[in-house]
Parts: sequence; structure tokens; C-alpha cells
Amino acid sequence: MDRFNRFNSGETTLTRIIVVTSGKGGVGKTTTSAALSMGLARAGHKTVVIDFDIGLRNLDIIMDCERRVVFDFVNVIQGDARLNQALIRDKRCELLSILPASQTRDKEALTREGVQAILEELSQDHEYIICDSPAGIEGGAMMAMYFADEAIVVTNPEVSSVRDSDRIIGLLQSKSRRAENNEPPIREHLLVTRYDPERVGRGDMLSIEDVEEILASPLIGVIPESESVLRASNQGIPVILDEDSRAGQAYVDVVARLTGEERPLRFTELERKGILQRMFGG
Amino acid sequence: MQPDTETPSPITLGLKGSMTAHALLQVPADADEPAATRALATLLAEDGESLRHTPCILAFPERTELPDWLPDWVERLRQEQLVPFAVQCEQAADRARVHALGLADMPVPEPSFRKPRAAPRASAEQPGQAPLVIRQQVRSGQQVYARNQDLVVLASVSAGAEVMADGHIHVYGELRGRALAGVSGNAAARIWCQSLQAELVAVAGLYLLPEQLPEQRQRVEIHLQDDQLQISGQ
Ligand SMILES: Nc1ncnc2c1ncn2[C@@H]1O[C@H](COP(=O)(O)OP(=O)(O)OP(=O)(O)O)[C@@H](O)[C@H]1O
Ligand SMILES: [Mg+2]
Repeated sequence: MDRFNRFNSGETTLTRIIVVTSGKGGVGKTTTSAALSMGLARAGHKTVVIDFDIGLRNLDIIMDCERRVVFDFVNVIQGDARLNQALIRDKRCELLSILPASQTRDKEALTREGVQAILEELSQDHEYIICDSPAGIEGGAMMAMYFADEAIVVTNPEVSSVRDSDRIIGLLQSKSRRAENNEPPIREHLLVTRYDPERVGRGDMLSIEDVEEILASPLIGVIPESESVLRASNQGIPVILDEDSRAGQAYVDVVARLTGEERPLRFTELERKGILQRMFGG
Repeated sequence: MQPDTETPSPITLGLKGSMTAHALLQVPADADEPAATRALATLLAEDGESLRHTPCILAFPERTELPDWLPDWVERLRQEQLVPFAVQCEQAADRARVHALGLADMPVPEPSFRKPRAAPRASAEQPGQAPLVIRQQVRSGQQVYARNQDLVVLASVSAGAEVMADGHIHVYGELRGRALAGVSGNAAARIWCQSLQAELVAVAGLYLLPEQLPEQRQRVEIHLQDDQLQISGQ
């Protein structure tokens, strides 16, 4: 099969390339990429998650495979390794692979042709390609979004994060491959993370309605602020595997919505903590 | 560009933030093309980031006419990713040359310039010119300029976004960013919006900042009257 089939022939494949992006740093992109890729794979979809944050490397730590990294994204682009030498199969779920970022190279190492070739190859046998974008609106972030079919725009309910998300949505609509080729635009999904109903109630945070109104983009989910996220990532476990965690459950809902199910929002209202919740954490 | 060691004494280009959100790039009267080009290189090396992709107006103060190297200069600016969109000039011949380059002419401001020259141009003078219609939300960091026409935005204008028109501006969603109508001096231009929460509104160079705007208003009209911006609405 022609490696460049996917982007050049106009033929559609079943693969969905989804970029997880935000503009602002530290809002939960990598947490989200890890959770959704694991959730999709566990739901039976062959999935690969790519770390575009060249020079930092976070994803492999959250996925607990840092010690198994031999070759990386940049090695493949530069022809030092074949793609399947660099892909790391997840130990917990065999439908999930990780393509780690290089810690040593600089960001300029990613070329558009190189990224395209890798996405082509991955498209041949994966249903989902999740691209974990670096923060900002520079080269790395633009590279992560360029070939995407869909985007998950991760936003914290505060003014600066919302502003950056707005900016990113503008770029998705104008600077992507789809935009440049006049194809149907990238489908964007708004994901509000670190949502804390108590702080919203006190007026310290924007409400979901505020965020939706400002960004005018369809909401795919709300992930509550939860200590379990940090705990999970320290243990190298995508939080979606923590079934007792509200954040984990909210990510399960997002996976369901991504695959076409309708689910009501959870954990968005202020609720009294029950005795059990207090004992086992939320 | 290589710095040339045999150049005459260096000149500097005047650069100011103007009232509207564009830069004003001034070329001193004694500068010839090579001198202006070298000065441009210096300027870009110092502050290329904030200049590139920013709309700018060119000014050649204290000259009897625009220099004959204007077309090359405009071309060079574009190559450097600057976005010249207007040139300050008064004479009919100069204005025609500017128009031939696809640029707008702008009146040369008087020293204490605050209000536009009389003769309004743009849409009010060109009935029948179709407006520029934008259907999507104008997002933070984006700029839209309707040259010689009105602008209609069917969605909202985000905080951090900017819409400009030589004619009127209509925003059917919320105006949270900046809106500048009549940017080439048309004092008859107006702004209408569903909901006013703007960072700046301006008509023909006269502007108001958020603290001068009324607390959130619905269905607003903004126009110039006796050199004052009038805001009416509900
Ligand atoms: N729902 C949540 N509740 C509590 N903490 C969270 C939540 N989501 C993310 N965090 C924490 O926020 C921090 C940043 O998360 P993460 O690394 O996923 O963000 P990022 O957007 O990928 O950052 P960067 O821009 O640096 O790549 C981490 O410490 C993570 O544990
Ligand atoms: Mg990250």
C-alpha cells in the first residue's frame, strides 16, 4: 500500500487522528492523552499515543514505560530506527502502543514530511492515533495539530486558559492540513479539566456555562479536580484505570462519548461528601 | 541581511503604536531606499516578533511626494512578513500610486491629530459594495480587516481578537475583543453589536477603552457625533 495514501489521495480511512491540545501549559493534556488512549484501547480499539513534547518526555512516565524506551519519535523520523522498533506495547493492554518523545533532541527535529510518513504508517493498522501536544502555539504544537482529524481542546475553568484555548481553536481552523486543503474542518471537542464545583460556587472559577459560551465549541466532558490524578501519575497508572476515582470515571465517560455514546455529565454539581467517599477519597 | 560597513551614518525608523491596533512605520525624509532597508533590518532584528504579521501603516513625513521606490519597499516589507495595508498621503497622484499597489491611503495627521479629515471615504462613498461576511467566531489572536467595505460578523468576536473595517461593523454575537470602524477616516462609520463587552471600540480613530464603556449593554450602536463616540443601546 502506498504510504502516502491517507493524506494525498483524498481517500478516507477509519483511523481517527486526534490531537490533545490547549495552548496554555499544565492544564492536563498529557493526563488526558494517557487516559483516553488507555480507555479507547480497553474498549477494544487499536490505539497509539504519540508524545509530541520533544525534549520533555512526560507521557512515558505517566504510562510507566520510561525504562523501556530504546528508540523514540525522532529516531524514526531521522531514519535511525524503524517505527515498530520505537513503538512500546503497553503491558496492561495489548491494543495500546506508545511512541515516546526524545528527551535529548531539540524540537526542530520534527519535520512535517517525517510526521506525515509516521502517521501514514500508523493509520494502516490503528483505529485511533492520539497526539499529545506540547504547550504553546509554536512549532511543536502546530506539528501535533497539523494532520489531525479531531481535536480535544483541554481547558481549565479560568480566564487565561480559556483565552489560550480560543486562540488554539482559531489556529485549528486556519493552520491545519484540513484548513489549507479546504477540506472539512478539524472537529473540535471541548474538555474542561480540573473542575471544582466548590470554587465555581465561590466565584473563583468560571462555570461550565461560561466556558462553553466563550468558546462556542461542543463540550465532550468535564473532569473534576481530583487528588487521584497526581497519585495515579506518580504510580505510572493512567487515571482512567483507577475505578474509584471521579476523574477516572469522568474520563471513561469521555471515551464513551468519543465513540458515539451519549452520557450525562457527572461530578459537575456541588455534592455533600458521603462517609464512604470521605474515607476512600474522591 | 549583511550589515554594510561602508554605509553613511545610520538612521532610525520611527515606530509607534498608533491609536488603532496597527503599527505606524515612519521613514525619515532624508532616507533613500538602501538606508531605509538597512534600518528595517535593524528594526526587525530588535523586535521582529511583534512586527511580523501586524498590520502597519507606512508614513513618509515631510516629503513633497512619495518616493519612487515605494513599490519595492512595500514588496520588501511583505517578504519580511510585515503587513502594510495603508500609506499616509494627501495628493491625488500619490493616492493613485498607493491604490495601484492595492493599499489604502490615509490622511496625514496634523501634529495634534485626534480627529479625522472631513471627506469620508469607504463604504459610505461606495454604495452597493458587498460587505465582508464572517460566519465563524473571530478567535483570540485573529484579525479581520474589511478594506473599503463593511464587515458583518455573524458570530462573536473573542477577547484578544480584532475586527476592522473602512466602513461599518456589525457583530451579531458578543463583541468581547476590539472593533475599529472607519479606519481610513470615515467618520460616518458605525458599529453595531448584540452585546458590548469590548476591549476597545473606535470610529475613525477615536476610541473608547473598557473603563469608558457602559456596563454590558445589549443591542448597541456606536457612532461619532461632535467628535465624541456615542453609545446607545438597551
Ligand atoms: N483533573 C485533575 N485534578 C487534579 N490534578 C490534575 C488534573 N489534571 C491534571 N492534573 C495535574 O496537573 C498537572 C499538569 O498535568 P499534565 O502534565 O497532564 O498537563 P499538560 O497540559 O500535559 O502539561 P504540559 O503543558 O506541561 O505538557 C499534573 O501535576 C497533573 O497531575
Ligand atoms: Mg504534557
